[in-house]
Amino acid sequence: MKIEMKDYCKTLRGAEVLKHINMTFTSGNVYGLKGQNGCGKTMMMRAICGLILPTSGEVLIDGKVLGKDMSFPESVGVLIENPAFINAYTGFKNLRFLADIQKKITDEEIREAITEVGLDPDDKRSYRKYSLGMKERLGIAAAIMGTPELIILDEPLNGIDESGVEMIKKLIADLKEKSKLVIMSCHDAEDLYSLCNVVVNVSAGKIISTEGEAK
Amino acid sequence: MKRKTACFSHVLLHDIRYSILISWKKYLALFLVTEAIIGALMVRIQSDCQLGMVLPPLTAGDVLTYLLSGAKIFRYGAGIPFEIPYIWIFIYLMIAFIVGENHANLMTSRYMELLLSQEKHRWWASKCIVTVLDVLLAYVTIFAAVGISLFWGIKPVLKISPDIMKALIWKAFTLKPNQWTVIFVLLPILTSVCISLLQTVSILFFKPMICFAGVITLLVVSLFYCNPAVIGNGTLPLRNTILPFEGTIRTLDVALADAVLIVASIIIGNIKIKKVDLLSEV
Repeated sequence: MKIEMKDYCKTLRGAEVLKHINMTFTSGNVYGLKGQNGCGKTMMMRAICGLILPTSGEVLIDGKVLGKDMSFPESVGVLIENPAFINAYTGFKNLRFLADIQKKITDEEIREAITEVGLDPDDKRSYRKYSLGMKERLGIAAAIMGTPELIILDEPLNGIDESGVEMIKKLIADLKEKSKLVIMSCHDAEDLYSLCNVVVNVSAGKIISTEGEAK
Repeated sequence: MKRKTACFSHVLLHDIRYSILISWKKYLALFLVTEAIIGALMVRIQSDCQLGMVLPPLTAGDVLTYLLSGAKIFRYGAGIPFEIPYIWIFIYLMIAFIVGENHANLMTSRYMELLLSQEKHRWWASKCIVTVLDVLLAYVTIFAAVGISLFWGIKPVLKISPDIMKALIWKAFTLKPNQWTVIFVLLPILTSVCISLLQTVSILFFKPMICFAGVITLLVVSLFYCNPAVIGNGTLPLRNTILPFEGTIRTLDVALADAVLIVASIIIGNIKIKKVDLLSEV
């Protein structure tokens, strides 16, 4: 998979939140977006998902224009801020409910995704009884279930304990091994450099530099 | 690669399940309140009989007419008392609440559904169908409540008793079953679908709370301003020209206005989602 952001600009309520972004993302790499709060990291992720449309410029996914040739990337898993799950359902039931939209992800794959993030797929507790860290883990499981080609994770380590962080790091390394394209952000620079082979520095809606090399 | 195009039926089924899951308590509240209103109505009829009034037994038609009648025309300064139709307000606020909350979640924060559905138009079509189903389910709930009350001794016929009507809404009238069905059931459902679709499409432009407030405003204006262009009048059967209340609302006018607005809402939504940033609250 190849994603190209070409001269992408986005203005929201008069404020230019993304300014002339030119960047290419390719499979088999983990890209880390680094920058201060409100610098445009999440906006970039939304733009790549097709959740926001450009004021000017475009996003190409394998040569197809996002928002014109396709509404959203064909195979994508996303964790952006707080994913909305159903409080009364268990973690497994929540993911099954989501997966039923496509009917292509099996129970086994859902269980695998839940296990990979360190949760128990047979846990009978409802989502409302989950801790903050467990909620975050379930959000990651939702993003990776069915192993999509593109995985976008906005601050996936938020609220997760130390053992969980190691687990998520291993998970991301595995996704890279499987030649998936991972784009993530993380407030901890150390974690970001250890996880990503390309770090993109974002400031005030602009890419100011990139560090590392894509495969 | 597992994730690809979702079938429309799966998206729709998902939205229906989500809607019921989120809203079943509100439908239950609608059911219970309707039952309570029917109970109070039976007590009222019984006490009227004890006071010497000769009234026939209540029929399902009488109860439904009472529940769905809405309000007569408001005449400012005419010295005619205007009764606030609390039942009507409750029913339509409940529908607006169900539609609003349901779509507020589906259209503003549940981004995985949207991405998995893969196609904005498919997603929008599903939202429109679920809106219609939400309204229909609200009416089915009211009918179910009346159905349950048949066990309390209400006669299972749709015939309206003029004497009961006179006791309840101060005017004796009766209607043929087809006339009754059109102005007390079909037209209000069509109008309610229209209002709900307007509310749904508005959520693409404004915050869900503002859209809910907009529906309340429309309903209030409809109560005090009798004109087919103020579409809430379609949910107020007592204003229909078919009834002998000097009604000024013609079925055809309202149906036409509703149909135009329904089609416009669907088209505007379809155009807008191509250009709008979805899930603004994510």
